Amino acid sequence: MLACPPCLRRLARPGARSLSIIGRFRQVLAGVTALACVLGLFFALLRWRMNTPKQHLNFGHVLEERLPG
Amino acid sequence: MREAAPAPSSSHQAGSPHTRARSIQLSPLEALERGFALFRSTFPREAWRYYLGAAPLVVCFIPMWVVNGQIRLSDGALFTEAALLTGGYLLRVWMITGYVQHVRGRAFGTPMSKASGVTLGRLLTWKVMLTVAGLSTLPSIAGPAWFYTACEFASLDAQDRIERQSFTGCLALAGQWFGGSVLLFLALLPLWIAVWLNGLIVAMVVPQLLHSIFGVNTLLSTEMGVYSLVESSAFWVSLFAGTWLAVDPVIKCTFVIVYQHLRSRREGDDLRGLLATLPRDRHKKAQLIASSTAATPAAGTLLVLAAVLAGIALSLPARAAPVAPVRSTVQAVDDSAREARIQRLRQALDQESQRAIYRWHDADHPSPPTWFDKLLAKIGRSLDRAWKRLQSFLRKLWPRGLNLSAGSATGGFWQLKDLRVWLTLIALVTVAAGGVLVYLRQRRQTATLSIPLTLASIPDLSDSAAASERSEDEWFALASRLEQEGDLRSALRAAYLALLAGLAQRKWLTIRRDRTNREYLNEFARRWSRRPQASLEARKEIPEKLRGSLRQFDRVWYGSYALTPEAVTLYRQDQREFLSHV
Repeated sequence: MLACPPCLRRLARPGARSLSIIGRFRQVLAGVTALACVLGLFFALLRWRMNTPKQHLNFGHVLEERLPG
Repeated sequence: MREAAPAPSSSHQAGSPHTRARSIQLSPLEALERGFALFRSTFPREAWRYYLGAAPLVVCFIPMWVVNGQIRLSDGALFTEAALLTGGYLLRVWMITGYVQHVRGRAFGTPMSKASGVTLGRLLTWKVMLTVAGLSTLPSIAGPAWFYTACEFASLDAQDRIERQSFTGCLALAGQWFGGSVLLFLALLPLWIAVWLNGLIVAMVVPQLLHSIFGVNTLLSTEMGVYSLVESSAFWVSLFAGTWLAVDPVIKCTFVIVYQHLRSRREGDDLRGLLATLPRDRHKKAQLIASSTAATPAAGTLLVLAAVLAGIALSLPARAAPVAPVRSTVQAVDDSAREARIQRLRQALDQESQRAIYRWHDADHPSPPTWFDKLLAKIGRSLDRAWKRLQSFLRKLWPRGLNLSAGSATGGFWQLKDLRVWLTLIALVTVAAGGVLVYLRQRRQTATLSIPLTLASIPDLSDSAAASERSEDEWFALASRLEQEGDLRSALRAAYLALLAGLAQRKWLTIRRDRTNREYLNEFARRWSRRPQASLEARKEIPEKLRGSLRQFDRVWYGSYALTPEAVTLYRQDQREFLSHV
């Protein structure tokens, strides 16, 4: 493994620095914010869907129209 | 490794710079091909991660889409739905990142790390930003391809602990393969369309087949069902989701290949040029070596023959005799040394190419077959056998020696056996066609016979019939007659019409064709509550009884509930009794 040139090059490069606590907190906060954006997007989409209904697979009106005595 | 590496590098050095530059570029089609090979080879062990992660979001979203189009929900319920979908999205990101990481680890031996909250947070931020950027540049086509590629690289970068990755690093890496990503996007369009069309055809054809073969009547097997399906947005969303689930894991594997290729170029070791082409070149070299070794004995034999012939024809010169064996001996030693080197090289190549990291590269590379490979091979063998049987059957049907080309009757003759087969086939087809015709004719006759009978039995009981056409007593008489004839549904409808006619005669309601039972009930309840005796005696059970009667009729007439003669008699008597109370 050590004889492999790519591995040697990779080892020669400095590794990833470990994040500070503030940095970690910032990344988690950014993730939560992103998740909140996704939640808002889903909410808006579902609300739009509810306010603009389509008559797919809804045959209630057909039954209503066929009920005269 | 040490033995194998110089061989391809020397061959690359021998090539022109242009060839070298071209060889290190990964074309989109090649990436797609390798990605599919990688997906196939990792399917039995890793694909569950993808589907387990992707399925909940789809399975939750589609029913919500349908329900929200039908029912008005509160904001709290909508928020709960959105939270559930967000959880599905989070699960999808987490599981698919794990899937990609495991696929990468299996193909390239990269170390796997556990996803932490920090990693997930960073990944979510990058993905949301890149998705928004991709959607906002959608009309440009090139923009989404770039951002989507960067988004895929972000998934791969997120868990890399060796190097610290950045958002701009993903964009820069995607920029290195910008042309390839746009071409890949264009190349994926036919694939998407093909999968999508397959789903559409299945959705259209399966209900019809179920109806034709098993007689299963569904809404989708009717003509209106197809129209309602086409008009349904839920159907299109489901079709899109199905297509996405079918194609997306292959694309993920494709980007694993592309990412590894770009990383290897950045790190200075051309994975594709130096190592990954070894298994493919191995076959070519083996063929070349085999052809050269096969050619050597033939040339030697010719030389021996020539020497024998020369020995017979000419007298051997004594001077040349000692020189020739010395030369041939030196040449033989060189050849054997070269042959040994070639053998060593071949062994090194074989050994090197057995490593797991090269399995993805060559679909034909020998690797232990998984259960999925065995299943595919079994299906393939079965299909081959069936196809061969069909071919042999058709070949038997075709008359041997029959030549349809005019003027060339060489050797062509009919055999009685072929003629018999043809006559049998024609007879079978004739009998089958006759059977179909007889069946169709009988069906038509049945249809023509059934219509007058239906009209004669219930002339005034169709949906267009109005209760005001007859009196209460006439309707009840008709109900009794129909009940005796065994037509229970029509008898019940006649009793129901008698009820309406009786209420209309007593001025409790006004009969109109466009009114529903609910409207009749509301009108009756309103007039009942305003009657003069209402202040003394409310008798609220009367509207409730009418509600029960109407509901009972609706269930039987529109809901196709089963009826018994006793139930019809009871219903008829109940209506008579009810009318006697109002």
